[in-house]
Amino acid sequence: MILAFAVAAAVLFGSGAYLLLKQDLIRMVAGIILISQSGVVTIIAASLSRGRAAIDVAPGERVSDPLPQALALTALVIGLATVALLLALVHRAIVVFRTAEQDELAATEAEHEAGLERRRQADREEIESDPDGERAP
Amino acid sequence: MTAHLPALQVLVPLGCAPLCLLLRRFRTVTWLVFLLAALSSLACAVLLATRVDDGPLHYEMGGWPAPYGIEFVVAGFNTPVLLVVSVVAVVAAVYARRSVGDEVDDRRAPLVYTCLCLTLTGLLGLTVTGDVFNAFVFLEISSLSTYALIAMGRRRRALLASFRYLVIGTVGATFVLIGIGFAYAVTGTLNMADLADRLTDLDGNRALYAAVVFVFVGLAVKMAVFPLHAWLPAAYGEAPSAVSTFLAAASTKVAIYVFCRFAFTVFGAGLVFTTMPVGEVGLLLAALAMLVGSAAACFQRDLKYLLAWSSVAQIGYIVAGISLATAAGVSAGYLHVINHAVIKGALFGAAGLLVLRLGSARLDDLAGLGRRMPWTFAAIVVTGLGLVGVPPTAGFASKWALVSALLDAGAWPVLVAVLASSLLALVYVGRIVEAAWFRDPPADLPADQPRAPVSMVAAVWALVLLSVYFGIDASLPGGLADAAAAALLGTGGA
Amino acid sequence: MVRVIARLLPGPSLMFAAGLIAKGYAEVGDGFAAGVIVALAVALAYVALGAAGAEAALPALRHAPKAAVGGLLLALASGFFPLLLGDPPVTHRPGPGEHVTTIGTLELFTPLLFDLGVFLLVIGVLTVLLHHLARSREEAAR
Repeated sequence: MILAFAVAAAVLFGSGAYLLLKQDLIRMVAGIILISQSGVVTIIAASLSRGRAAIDVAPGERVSDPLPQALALTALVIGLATVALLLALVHRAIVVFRTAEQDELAATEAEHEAGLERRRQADREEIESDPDGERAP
Repeated sequence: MTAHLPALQVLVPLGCAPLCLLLRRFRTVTWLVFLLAALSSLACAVLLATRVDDGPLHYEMGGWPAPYGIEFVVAGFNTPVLLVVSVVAVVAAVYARRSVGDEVDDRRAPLVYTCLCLTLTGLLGLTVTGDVFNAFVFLEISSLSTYALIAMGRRRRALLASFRYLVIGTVGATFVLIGIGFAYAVTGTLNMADLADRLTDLDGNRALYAAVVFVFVGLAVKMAVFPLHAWLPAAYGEAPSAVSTFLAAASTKVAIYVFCRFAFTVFGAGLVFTTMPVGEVGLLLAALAMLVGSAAACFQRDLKYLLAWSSVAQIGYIVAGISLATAAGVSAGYLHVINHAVIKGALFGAAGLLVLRLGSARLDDLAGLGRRMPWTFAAIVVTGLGLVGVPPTAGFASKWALVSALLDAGAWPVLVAVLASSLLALVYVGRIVEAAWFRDPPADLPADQPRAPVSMVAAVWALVLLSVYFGIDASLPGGLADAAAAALLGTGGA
Repeated sequence: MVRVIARLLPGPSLMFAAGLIAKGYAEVGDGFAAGVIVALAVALAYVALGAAGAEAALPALRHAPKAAVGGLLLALASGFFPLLLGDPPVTHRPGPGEHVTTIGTLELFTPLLFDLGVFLLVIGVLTVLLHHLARSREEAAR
């Protein structure tokens, strides 16, 4: 593995991990993109070699390893699918919670739960004050 | 056609996934397609299981010979996993019809079945593949469809659960990918058997150590081993019930199998357990998982979250058995994989019945329902006793095997953790029983609630009866587990 | 300027993609790379013109779901058909070493169908994604 590739993978992973620790969901998506790219860079670095395509080679010629390209491609496609799903989820979360900050997400969630709990409590009290179990329509 | 069974095992569910998407106007048909996929994979798994006695089956995709093409391998070590996944898939399919109809809105139901087909494809593919990169691809197929399935849960929190799992899971998958990259760099091959051959000459290679660490940390995320379990409770707690039934029973189990496959048949037990301290680390984390998981389960207010935390503890048992790296330990781990899949599948199924009837699975809402829903709660109690490990349940059989394996290896501290965790399991199962039978039912309980659909109750009870049967007569799962351990450790079979 | 390019780019990108598929088995290139190139041109159209504008300028984009499903089926069919003939899946015809009919550098054999399927699938899926992400932002803005 060439040093440049190792450094590139490390920097990508490091920046991705840093972004993952952020509060903003969009930044976390960017972090995931960087981290999955670091995996791809590692795969390429693992076996980079230049030469002719590995089909019908004359003996003694340098052959390029065809696998890393296929592997990197597959990893890229998977990364693409992950990012698409992630963006769809974040979009949905923003529509539902009206924020993309983790703290605020937690806060709206807690508020929502408390609201539900109050409603349950109210239901219970209403029933207790109305022992026949007949509910208002 | 029978020669192609290993390929059909994976390709039929894969082909069914786009079919579900195409037929999305007809909701019942999409369900039928998923049921068909599950049944066909069960048929393949059973046929394959009867054939591996004569030795492992190798199948070359596209007719490309083994070290170059992708190879599928079916042997003693993966038939139990194939059987578990496909049995659970069939049960989940029967269960899903009414459960998904109730919890997911009609437009999205076909998507659920599409993703279930893909998850099934991924899990089965991960089990049969003999190629490390192909394993990564199937890992991601199953994970991506799992994230989508979890996001379809009924509450808004399901989105956050899915997001968290997606982030953690993707980092884990990238670790696996980087590990595979290192392994490829030092050996130049991706075929598992070929890798194992070439690795024997590479004693003391640092890149190889890095590969082992990366792959195992990545897999630990998918296995939900203790410090990396954080995604699991919310994911299983928020997913639609049919999905959590399937995932809780199948997905972590497959990840555990992949761990075994890498540890014993790729990197080799000598490197992983003797040169590197994976066994010791595994035992330590397993013990912590048992204690933390069971303790956290005692404090949950929602039945599904309680069950999910208990899964964290149960995974600890399995990891403890495997980390011993002895025949008895690995066999006990496999036995618990089978038994826990059946037990947890039944429990999550029963929780789904409660969700269907009450709209939630909060323990407070279960007050006094034991007499109203006798079948559901009987299922919970029988399988709950299995979680605790009371004889003669299936849980007892595997826990006994684990305890004797631990005794043989002299791992006393882990043994203490197993016993403590079992006591805590008694506490959390007791909480369910207390809520259901010993509390007064709320006054507002309408007298004529809709009855639980027969198909769902039947699916749950099929698993319950299976767990009881495995408790009374452990020869079938025990035989499978022993064969798996023998194949992995190379003392026979493969 | 960007808008004009965005309107015109899909044409040449299709040509380039066709070239990539045609020479894919002798040199660098395959259905996936070709699909991504066209999808990039489509993405530029979506960014420059917005969802409604892009679909008005390039009406073919409305058929993206069909392209995705059709491509998927084509790819799966070309992978599965050997099973019917009793060969393992993804075996290709004509087999290795047999005579392959060629048109220029384009070799006519079943992996070509697979690549075409992948090409359509990539374009279709990416366009559907762009469509949904672009449209929902416009809806949110409204």
